[in-house]
Amino acid sequence: MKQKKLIIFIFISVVAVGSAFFMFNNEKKPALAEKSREKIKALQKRRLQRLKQKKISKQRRRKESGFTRNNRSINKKAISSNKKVWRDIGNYPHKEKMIKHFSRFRKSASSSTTNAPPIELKLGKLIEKKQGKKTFSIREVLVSINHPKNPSNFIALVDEKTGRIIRKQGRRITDPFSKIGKRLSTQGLQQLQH
Amino acid sequence: MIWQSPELKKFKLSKKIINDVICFISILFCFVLMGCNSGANPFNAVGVGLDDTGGTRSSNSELSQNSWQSIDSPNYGRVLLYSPAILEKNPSQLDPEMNISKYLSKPVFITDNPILQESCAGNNNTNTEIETCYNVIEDAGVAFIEKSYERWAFDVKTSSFDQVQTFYHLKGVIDYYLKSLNYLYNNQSQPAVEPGLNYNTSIPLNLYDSKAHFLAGDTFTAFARCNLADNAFFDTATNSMCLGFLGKFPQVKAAHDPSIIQHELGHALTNVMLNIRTIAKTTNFPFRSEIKYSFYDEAGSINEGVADFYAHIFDQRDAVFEYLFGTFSSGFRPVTETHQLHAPGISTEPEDRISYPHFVNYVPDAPELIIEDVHQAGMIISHFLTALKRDLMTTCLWDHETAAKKIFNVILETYAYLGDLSATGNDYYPHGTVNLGSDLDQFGSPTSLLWYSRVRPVNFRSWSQTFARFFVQTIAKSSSTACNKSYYPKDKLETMLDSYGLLLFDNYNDDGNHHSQGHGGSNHVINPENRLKTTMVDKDLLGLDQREDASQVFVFDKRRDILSALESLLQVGLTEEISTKIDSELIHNNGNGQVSPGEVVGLAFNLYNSSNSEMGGVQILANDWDHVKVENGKRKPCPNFSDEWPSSDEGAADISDEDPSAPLSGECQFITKTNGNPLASTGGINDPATEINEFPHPVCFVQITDEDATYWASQEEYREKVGLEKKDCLNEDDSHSCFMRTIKGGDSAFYSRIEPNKSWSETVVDPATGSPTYGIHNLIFFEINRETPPGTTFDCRFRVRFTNCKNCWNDETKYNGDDFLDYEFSGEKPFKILHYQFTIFN
Repeated sequence: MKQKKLIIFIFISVVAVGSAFFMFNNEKKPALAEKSREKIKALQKRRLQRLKQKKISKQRRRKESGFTRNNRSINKKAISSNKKVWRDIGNYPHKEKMIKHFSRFRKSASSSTTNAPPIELKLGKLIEKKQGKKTFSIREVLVSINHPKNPSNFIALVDEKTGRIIRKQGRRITDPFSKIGKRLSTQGLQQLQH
Repeated sequence: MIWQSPELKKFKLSKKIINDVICFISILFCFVLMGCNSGANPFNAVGVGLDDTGGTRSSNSELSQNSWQSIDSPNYGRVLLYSPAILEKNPSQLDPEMNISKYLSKPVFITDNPILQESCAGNNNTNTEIETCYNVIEDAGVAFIEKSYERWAFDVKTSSFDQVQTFYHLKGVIDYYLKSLNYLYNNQSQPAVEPGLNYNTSIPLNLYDSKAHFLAGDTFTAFARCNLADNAFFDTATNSMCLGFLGKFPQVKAAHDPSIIQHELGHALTNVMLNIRTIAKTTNFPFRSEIKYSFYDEAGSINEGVADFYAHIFDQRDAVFEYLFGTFSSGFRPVTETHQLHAPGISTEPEDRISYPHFVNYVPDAPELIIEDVHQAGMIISHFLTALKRDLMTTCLWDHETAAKKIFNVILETYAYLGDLSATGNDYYPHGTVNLGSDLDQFGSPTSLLWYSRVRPVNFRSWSQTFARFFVQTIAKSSSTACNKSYYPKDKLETMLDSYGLLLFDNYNDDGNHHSQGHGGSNHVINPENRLKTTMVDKDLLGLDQREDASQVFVFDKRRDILSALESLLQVGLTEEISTKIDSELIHNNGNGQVSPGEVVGLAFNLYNSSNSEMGGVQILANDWDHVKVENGKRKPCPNFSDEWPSSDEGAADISDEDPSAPLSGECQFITKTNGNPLASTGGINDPATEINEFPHPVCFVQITDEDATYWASQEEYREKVGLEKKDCLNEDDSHSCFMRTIKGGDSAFYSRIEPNKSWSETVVDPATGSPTYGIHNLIFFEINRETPPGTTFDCRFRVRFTNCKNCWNDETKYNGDDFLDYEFSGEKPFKILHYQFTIFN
């Protein structure tokens, strides 16, 4: 009987001490909620590890004081991204037409001598959209207007055959740290009597 | 001393040991429970549960520096869980020069990836993960940072710290979204389940296969330390966000205020949600729905409010941006009426809540200002969502996390539906249920985009209605037992909406807007008795100011003003095309307040509200619409509308032989079901019939004087009369707008609010000057062909409507108040017609 009690006591103690160790050491291990996330990331982790295998193995050899010294030597270009790919506009046939389009009305309103801000075009995907008997060829072009005070980007969807801009999309949602935006001068207000 | 036998002693000892063990195990259980509880808080935030501005949130450390030696575990780092303004008990301690290390959290897991980059989970057990979903760098073109001694620990003054800080909160918000979406997909909405057994979810079945759960895999990048003073933004084109700094105190960074990160990411998530269906249900379709389409519009305002609410989800505060704006600047925004920043008289009593449209121009810390700004107008939505969340917590006995997540899911459904350019709305209803139709027109642009951006855009009515519909189909579903063993009463939702002036619909429009099935389904209707505060106004009470000496239209033609406006429109990509016939220096703009050849002019309409209630969300449309009939190869203005214009001897189309009960394609009584798109799908089982001679026509007609008559005609007819070659038109491919045409993107004007018996210019007044201040969004822009003969007279037929209009969106007497169908917005029915007649002066 005594032996039984002693065995139960030892068993409970072992479980309790083990649980306590697990619990107080919890911070160093992934939390329960993190486990599912880790599963999700396992694939990516393996891939990223492969990408920098050589560098990491070098780093491991340089262990100091139990910690791995990070020497900032990852090849950034090797890290993949799903970001839309924008390549140099090159000699895209509609380049001049587009630059002309975006340069119009670009001289600063406050000074007619100010030059238009630089415009950068980058070429994206060509999309062939079939609709009935017609096929639309639509080119994505990233337009960056490098205005010194207010740079902006948007995507121009261009008719690949004619160079006509079908649509501009992808605008910026700004949260300026002031409440009042640009207003038109009320001095310019003219009234048309009826 | 009482003697005890050895057996008794042993028994007592064993009992004591057992008691101790039980006690120890109990304590252990308590710890485990506490651990579980902290696991429920994904942000390890101290003080979460305090749903207010006060409370005991505090940092866990009094660190002087953020060193890697102080962090035991690899891949961990310290961050600001809340901004210093929240964590500091004594506001006088807040100083731009202070060391913010003392506000850092205990070590939190950042990432075990070598850089600040993360994947986005797909559906369970499928290969639908987006591998490189989001990442953080300092600024555009700057390399990724890496860990320091395997820790994400950097001095708080460095850009590296800002990046870790941004990444931590970014991950929190995106994980929250992905988990919510996954729950929706697999549990709540279940797109694989027939909607009759569940509800008409807008989440598509191929959500994950198409990677529509995060913009088809386009990586989102956060720039944690942008070289941008006094600004933060989300950039849709590059799918990135930028966190700037205070110009006054450059060391104070936007990244140090988590609510700014959460707010900006809120915009990004809205962008993701809006395009879920478009990505999933279309192929080779590059068009996307955007958050807003003007410098001020209601879609943009709502989104600002939703983004503020997202920040509230994560910090449970009564306001957003308390650090940057509350401490070192002004302009932080409350999300509830109990916040002290509000003007006196505002409270959580239903009659005292900030309601639509009265508070769209309201600035809490400067109530004397009246401005049209999306951030201010959005407060109505953030306050509504916060109040609804609190009511769910009270009524359903839910905690903050549960109530917030339920609302988040409804927002997700709402945006996925409203932004759907595939025009289906859900996987079960036919093409054309929402946003008219996805077919490209002859110019290569989908009609759905025109509807979404201009003709039937997101506004306070459509957003509230769609939100309420999904709310009723889920949280207020009568078969649900999730809300304290019952369901949240629909009447409570309607009462809450009404207290914010948002009960702007009669019918929940469950059956969509399809041309033939849009009135065919069963619809929920509101209880009219719940509408106490929301005001609905007849569209006929809106018009141009007819008072004596009042101007009806203001003409802006001053060169500098117009050049500046065009530059802004072009700068942000709001306009596709300005005619090459217009001089790019605007040399013809003479600033004489008249419309002259060769000019670009902005027209501001002096709108007058002759009702006794406020009007909100007034929008004037100048896009092409169905108001002509082709007779003998010429387009004639239809005279069958409420404006009774023109008369038969002034050039009107002949409608004498038309049967209004069965109009035929090409007749004035017939409204095109494809917006006159000759390339639209027609003839199929759910498609409209093929149409002939249906043309959306420009708003402006021109007066022609013959030997024996004066009449109104199309600009093409006038071109022939004056002998102008087509190549000299503003657009040689469209001679119907040869002499005068609206600039796309500038073809719609917004006015936030008009007070009763006042004009807009008497409502939105700058208190400093006593005059209205016009924004670009208030104007409609026209190009005038320099070949236009002086003396030419035009009559332009605009359409106007507003959000709290009782007969602009539905007819309360028909189909139980069900919404007008999408195609009807090609005609007059949902609008009031406004005329503007003028003569060209040299």
